[in-house]
Amino acid sequence: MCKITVSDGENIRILEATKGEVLSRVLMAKGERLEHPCGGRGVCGKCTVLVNGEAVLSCRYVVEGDILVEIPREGAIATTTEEGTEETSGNTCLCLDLGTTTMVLALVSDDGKIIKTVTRNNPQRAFAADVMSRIEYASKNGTEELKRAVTDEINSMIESLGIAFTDKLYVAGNTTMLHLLSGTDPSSMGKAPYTPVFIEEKTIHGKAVGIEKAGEVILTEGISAFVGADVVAGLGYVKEPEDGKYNFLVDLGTNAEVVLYSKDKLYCTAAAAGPCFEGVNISCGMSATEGAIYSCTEYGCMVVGNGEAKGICATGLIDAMAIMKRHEVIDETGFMEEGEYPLKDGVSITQGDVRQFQLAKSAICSAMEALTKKAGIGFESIDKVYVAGGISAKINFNNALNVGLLPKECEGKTVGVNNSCLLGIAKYATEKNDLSRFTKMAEYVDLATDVYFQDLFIENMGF
Amino acid sequence: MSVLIEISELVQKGKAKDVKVLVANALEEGISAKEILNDALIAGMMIVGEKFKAGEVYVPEVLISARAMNQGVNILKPYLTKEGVESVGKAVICTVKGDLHDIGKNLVKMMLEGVGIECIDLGVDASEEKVVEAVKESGAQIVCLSSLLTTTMDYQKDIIDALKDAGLRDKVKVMVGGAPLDAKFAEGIGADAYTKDAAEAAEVALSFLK
Ligand code: B12
Repeated sequence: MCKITVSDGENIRILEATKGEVLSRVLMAKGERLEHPCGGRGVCGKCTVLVNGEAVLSCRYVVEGDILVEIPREGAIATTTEEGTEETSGNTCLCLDLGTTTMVLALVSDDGKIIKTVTRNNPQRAFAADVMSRIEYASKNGTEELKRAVTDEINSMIESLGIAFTDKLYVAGNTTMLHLLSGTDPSSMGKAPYTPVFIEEKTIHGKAVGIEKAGEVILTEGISAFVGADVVAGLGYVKEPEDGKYNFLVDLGTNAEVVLYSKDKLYCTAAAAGPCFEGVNISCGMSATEGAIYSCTEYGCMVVGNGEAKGICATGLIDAMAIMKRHEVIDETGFMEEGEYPLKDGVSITQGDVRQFQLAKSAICSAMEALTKKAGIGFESIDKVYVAGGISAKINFNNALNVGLLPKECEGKTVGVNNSCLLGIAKYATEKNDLSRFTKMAEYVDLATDVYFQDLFIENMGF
Repeated sequence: MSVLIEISELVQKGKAKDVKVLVANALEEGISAKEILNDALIAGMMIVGEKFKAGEVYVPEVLISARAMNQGVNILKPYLTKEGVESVGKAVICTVKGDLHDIGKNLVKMMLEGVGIECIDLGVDASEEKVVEAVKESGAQIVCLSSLLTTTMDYQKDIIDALKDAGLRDKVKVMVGGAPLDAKFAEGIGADAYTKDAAEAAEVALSFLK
């Protein structure tokens, strides 16, 4: 046995490991929270720790003897927020928006009101950041570890809402998250043709999957491997268009689901924008937490917490791009004469950041245009463009339109719906509105074989 | 300005129509097809490659330039055959099974063509059998494998193993690439080279043929 002394600058813990074990796995098994976006392939550098004073990648470090491990505070994932205090009586149920990055659990009254919520990071992030990497992890290591991580967290979230036991827990999430929660092998969604094991509504026993605090766990229905129950729940929440008109529902996330729907037809796809909107692959990128520049204008930048700027999050990035375009810091091809554009406190935008942004914004804009072509309609038939995803709450739509993240014809039609998924599950849990209506009229559009997408994607990369 | 330099600049700007006109003019002036290919079309595309590597131009600009170059090459083709000019080498290129991302693969192909390498493009979702067969048939010296998904990158190893089983492994250099890969992964699966971008891919491929 080797003794591993772990310090995070505040607390010291002693762990034990067998000689030959990989350090990151020891740390994670003992509940240390390390980010591991690349899934332990040793490429992202996010799981760096100090071993006896020397920086190493914990996913590549093999324990050989007693060591002192220092975990940098910055890298450690730890956020919990609780909102709402109202006292409640009568029948309630719990609703969970099980996201790849964050999970939000809500206590919902029988008339559909959200009484209280608790938000946590999805602990599976420690194993791998995006959906694909998690599928890969599961196909190599099995689903048990990933399932346990999330069910433990759910139990703890239920507890922190002050609930001892709930009869019903409604869960929506992308198809991979629901597979992992139910202990179903998601491997078949890792490669073309991306077939999920199940996609319809599924009820499981809490106890059977390790959520002891819930009786029945209801996984709501989705459409395909990459347009999941979270999107369908959201569709149940946003408004329907008038007769003959279409609405968009667009999720500005890594997977970037795009849905174009009328009263009787629905086209959907995943634009696969990439992790740019989560701050990944952007030189100074970060999530919208303390120290993130979240808004930029000609007069300066706004920082979460009003302190020193440490990085930039997606909404800030969109603003910065719009300013750079306006001031011709970038030309119409995205080329930067200077190579770097300083914003505040050493946070700046590089040429590489602009290139990453071009891929992401073009993927979304082009997917929207491709769906209108598929439906055979023009943008004049579009009534509303609902924009979901965490960043939709603080996004400056004028700037988003200006840099071509959304087609310019969407001007005046955009509506931010930050928590459409959670509100959608709450609605379903209490009203039993018909979600199968959406899945029945859905047609999944595969952009990889779409005749328009590729040309649009290249065309829309410019500014 | 000499017509060759002019063609090179038009390739860089992606002016396909003008490239076609000037290539025809140059042939009429009596300049050899080989010279037009190397000193105008390929020279222009190489500069585009350098600029791409430096981040000065991006995917759309490279695609437009490559299209302009190809239009020029098409006019030259019969003349090149007549002059007995051969390509500097052949490469089989594809995106591997289970993966349909092909923009990066196409860029690599264009850059290889941009340095005069003939490409046999197997498209996307290519199986190991297809690759082996194409290598056998074409006698290519290079195999380029692209993969954009964490879940499909391991398939590159299957293809390398299949080349081994077919007794072809020591006849070809295998190059791998795609956003989720790195040099360490490439080494681990027994590839001969990994490069981060398409311009570098062309340089390395060329070095294998020397
Ligand atoms: C465009 C895109 C698509 C398009 C593809 C269109 C097409 N015909 O190629 C569409 C929308 C169809 C698509 C679909 C999917 N995508 Co996609 N897609 C992207 C996106 C936005 C850009 C990729 C790209 O074209 N980059 C530009 C090119 C030029 O770069 P590149 O490919 O890396 O190539 C360069 C180098 O790598 C190198 N190179 C490439 N190949 C080779 C080969 C050799 C031999 C060498 C030497 C070098 C080399 O040279 C190139 C030029 O310098 C990325 C996210 C992002 N922002 O990067 C996601 C991304 C790659 N997709 C992803 C996913 C998951 C998918 C889907 C499975 C699911 C989904 N959510 O829709 C589907 C599956 C499609 C399929 N069946 O394969 C993920 C992969 C995640 C992972 N961990 O594996 C990404 C990262 C987005 C994300 N969700 O995080 N996608």
